[in-house]
Amino acid sequence: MQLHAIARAAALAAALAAIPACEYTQCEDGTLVQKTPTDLALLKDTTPVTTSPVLLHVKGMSCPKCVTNVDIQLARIPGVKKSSIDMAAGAVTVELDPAKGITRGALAKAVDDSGLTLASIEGK
Amino acid sequence: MRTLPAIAALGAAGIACAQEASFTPAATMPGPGTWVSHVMVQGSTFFSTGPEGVSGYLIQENTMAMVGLAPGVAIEGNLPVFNGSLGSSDPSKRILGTGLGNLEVDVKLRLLKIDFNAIDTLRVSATAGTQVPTGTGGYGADSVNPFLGSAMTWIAGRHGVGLSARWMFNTGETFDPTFATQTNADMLHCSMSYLYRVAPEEYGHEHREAWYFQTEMQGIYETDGSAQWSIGPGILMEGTRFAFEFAIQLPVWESSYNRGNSNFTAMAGLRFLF
Repeated sequence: MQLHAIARAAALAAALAAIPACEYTQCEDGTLVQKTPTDLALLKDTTPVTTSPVLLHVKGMSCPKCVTNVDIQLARIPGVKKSSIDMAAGAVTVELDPAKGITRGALAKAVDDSGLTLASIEGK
Repeated sequence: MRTLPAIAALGAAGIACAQEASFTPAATMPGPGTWVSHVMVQGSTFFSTGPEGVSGYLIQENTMAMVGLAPGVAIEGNLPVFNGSLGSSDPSKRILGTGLGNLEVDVKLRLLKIDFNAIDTLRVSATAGTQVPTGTGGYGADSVNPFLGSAMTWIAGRHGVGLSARWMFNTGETFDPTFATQTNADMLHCSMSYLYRVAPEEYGHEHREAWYFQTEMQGIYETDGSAQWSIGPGILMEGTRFAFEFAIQLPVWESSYNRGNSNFTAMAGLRFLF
């Protein structure tokens, strides 16, 4: 009985794990778009950031603790000095040391890891 | 005395990050390497409706922790500790003293994320885990009970809606035990929450804290026919690294016979993000 129930649950769990997460964001015209190859390319962008501060436009910052997730992930990047967040504007300002060679992809990954959606990066 | 499992299940609320009500698990989760801990203390009183019914009080302390493993994947655990004084004419149903409950461990997976704008979001996640028989003093089940669940969190401006359902496959063989999870009945636990952000009206640079009013409705159904429905209000204060909550639950309807009926449950909790 016990093994049977565990096997049933394990099979269902495996089926769930096989379902890929679907991630969407809303465009200004109201349409929903799934995570695009461009978004994925941004995560792999190895272009170093040469100016500071950098402005990240982020979506889904629905509560104070969600936002702290971004702070934590950004602070783990060597060379990031400080991040400040305007939740209503969806703006994350990142002060960093350009000499550290932080890439745009690293900033994008920090936002992605925090569970939010990066709309764009302003700054070179 | 199948009210107790309901209390145990209610105590096993989630520990996500976003605008999460006290008893309704949210679909959100911390990022990789980020920890969230949640400590809840709740007290419940019971009254007896039959000759073998149970009356008294039960205090439950839940210590929960969750850590992000990868983007959209987290693992969480909960170990409850009970202290109670529950009396009954049936000696097998009497409980007095302190004991551990069942350890619960599960993995949470993000299934859907839609970020509409800077604030608004919709998340759906699934959980798969198991209850481990670590209980002592009559507070835990004697079996490994796997469970599957799902949660939805929708935040639109100052409003937040949460839905959650969890099905527990009960592998226990005991008949008429203290806790429902000691029977051979499977259990469905559904919960629904609504949060209204009282303050701030609008977020900004200077607003990184928030107050919410919350109301929750919970239902528990077991395949042996037992059922319970409760409802209650609460408050949630959320800062950047911590949150404080206080909530009560009142029974609306219970299909119980010869066991304790819950009178009132009050809960206070703290959550930390680090």
